Amino acid sequence: MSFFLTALLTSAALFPQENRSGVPIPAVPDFQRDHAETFGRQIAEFADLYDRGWKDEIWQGKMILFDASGDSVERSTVRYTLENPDKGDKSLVRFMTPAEYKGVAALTHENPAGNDDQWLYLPSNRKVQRISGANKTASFQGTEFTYEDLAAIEVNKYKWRFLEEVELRKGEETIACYKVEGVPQYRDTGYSRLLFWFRQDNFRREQVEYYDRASQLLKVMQSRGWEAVHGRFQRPAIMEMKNVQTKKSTLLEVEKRFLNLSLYKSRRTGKARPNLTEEFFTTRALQSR
Amino acid sequence: MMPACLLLSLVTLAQDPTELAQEPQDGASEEELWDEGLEDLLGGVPSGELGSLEEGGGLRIASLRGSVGSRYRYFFRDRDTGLNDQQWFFEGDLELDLDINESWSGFVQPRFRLDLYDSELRRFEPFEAYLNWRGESSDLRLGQMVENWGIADTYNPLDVLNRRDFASDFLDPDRLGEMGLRYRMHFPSGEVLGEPTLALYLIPVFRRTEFPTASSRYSLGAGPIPFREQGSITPDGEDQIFGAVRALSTLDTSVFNADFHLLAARGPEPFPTLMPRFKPNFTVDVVPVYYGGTTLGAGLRAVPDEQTLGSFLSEFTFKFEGAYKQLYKFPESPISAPEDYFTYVVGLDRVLDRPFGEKDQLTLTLEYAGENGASDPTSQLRFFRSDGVLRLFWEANNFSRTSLEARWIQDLDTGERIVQVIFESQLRFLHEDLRFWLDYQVFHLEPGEPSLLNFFPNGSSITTGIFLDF
Repeated sequence: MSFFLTALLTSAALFPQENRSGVPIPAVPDFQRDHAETFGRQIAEFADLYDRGWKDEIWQGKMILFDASGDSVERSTVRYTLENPDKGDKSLVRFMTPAEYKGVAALTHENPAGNDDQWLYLPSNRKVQRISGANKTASFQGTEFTYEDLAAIEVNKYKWRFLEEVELRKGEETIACYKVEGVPQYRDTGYSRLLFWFRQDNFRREQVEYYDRASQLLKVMQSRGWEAVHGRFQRPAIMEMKNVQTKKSTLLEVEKRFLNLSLYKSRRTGKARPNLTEEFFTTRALQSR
Repeated sequence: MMPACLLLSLVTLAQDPTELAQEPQDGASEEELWDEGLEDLLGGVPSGELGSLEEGGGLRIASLRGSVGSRYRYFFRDRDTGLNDQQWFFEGDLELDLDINESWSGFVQPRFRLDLYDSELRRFEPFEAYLNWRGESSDLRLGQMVENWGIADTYNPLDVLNRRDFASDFLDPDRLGEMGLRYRMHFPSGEVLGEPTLALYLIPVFRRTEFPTASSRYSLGAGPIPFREQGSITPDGEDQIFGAVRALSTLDTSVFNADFHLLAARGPEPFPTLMPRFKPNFTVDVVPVYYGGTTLGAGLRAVPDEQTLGSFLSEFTFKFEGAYKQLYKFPESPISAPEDYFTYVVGLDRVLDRPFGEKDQLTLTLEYAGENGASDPTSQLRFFRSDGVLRLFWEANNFSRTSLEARWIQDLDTGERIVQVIFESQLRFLHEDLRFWLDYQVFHLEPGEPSLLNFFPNGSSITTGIFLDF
């Protein structure tokens, strides 16, 4: 099933679609290629700029956790995100399974300058609790992803350096990429550095390597089944995080995805849907289903 | 009860949601994007935010969850006193989220609980059953509701809305739903104050607390003087009304980010005073006498700003919860109300990542609960007059979702202490959602000290339970 989905979405990505998003693709700037730090930062900044304008996103999918022996469990969530490029994105995650966690919700207001604001709602005790956003290195629900991995990349929080232009092989496909190093400049990171493979034609992140604080390779994230949502925004159908030290891995598989809700029409009314607003990302809304 | 019946009957009459789907209108072409499946993901959203369900409407069950299971509790000290030395509960609950139309939704949570060793302990009730209306900048809840106004972990002076059910667990009693309304007004966020909200509560009808049954180890009639719950002296007329105003907001400052609450409440207190009643035939019994209370309180849960106060402090969550209680007697009451007092909790939480393993997490909670202002005999029997609480909560974050919780409550005046350890894990070899837990509690009492616990047999116990979540 996953293979079929991947093949289908890959073939879709191979045939460029008309940009229906209303957000033009920015022109590639004149990169300063003779200076590795500047060039690296320019690539990261442009990748960030390239992906702006999606406004809001709803992602429903499952997380499949594998241990070293191949045993696995599934968990499913819905994630709602409000794009806010300068002040930090806001996101709300609702857990659908396991049944024990159904109704549990986590709200995050990202803060580009410091720690995020985070709240947790536990339906069992009817309580919304503010929690410290300092624990970015914690595992997200037992997966190989940490909260740090799932947050948006803030360009200013890294020191960038271009390493080389490489051909990344993915199955039968060879993808021309910029390999760029990002060294986190914030406290409470779990990593000494990250290596990004930015695709040269659309600047999506094909692969990321995470190095632990002892500078040993810890995890590799690969994305596949790319889709240009609205013919514009690149999103993977599957993200796989492999821990090379423990041999454990996690698959994030999308089941439903909506970007920029105002581009969809309601089946009920025939009218365009409004976008999510700030009110959706409040502690009041957290307590709603 | 009324909202539950109403809502359940509406569920029966609900239309199939697929019938509501319409073909594209307005000349929409096949290339246009339709919101297939989007509505299912957008429950609980204020009116106008998403434009869902606005035409045609139709009630549907938006989500369903629940649990069913059994737990057995064995008291291993002060046995053979003629009271139940064990409890064996069968219990379950069902939670239904209902969408009615763009503005209205509902929630119903019926539950049951019965104790095989106690024929008096039978509960079949709607824990919650209410309707919600959402407007642009306000919302209304109508029906039986349960809310948790607390901030601290073990003791919550601000949590005064719901009565408790002391029958199944005297020291950790479940909440009981209150029938009334809540109206909330939302105000725009500013630079410092975020999500300002003013919430008004009105509970017009007084209902009595559920006491331990006659055979319970915490039975109030276990001593030589009979307890007559039916003789309760309760408020009448306007005295029954409970009203509260809560102001809530987030606070974003350069020193800390916080959530704060302000509370003003007035109405019957949920836990009565027990009064001996002398009868003409020279016998005596004990009856509950309810009185009223005015509560003025505030609470704060704050995370220090990393840039101003450093990363070490920003890993803590600091909390304060305090309430001034002014108690008053109802006209029918034969005794004066207890003295006024101030009760409070201060504390902190700290989360440690991977303390022992690869993905585990340890939450450390330290709290102090204190009380000032009252010295009457009733006050001596209240819990948390000067108590320290230490809680450690470890989550393995493994496939079985194993956790271990340890809590130590120490009365710093009397030396009394309660230590509790809870182990919980999924029995994955049987079912992904089959939950097992083991709860071990040890009570160390000081018989010479004034303490409510000294009126009962020692509550030290071991409990094991198994529940299926769905």
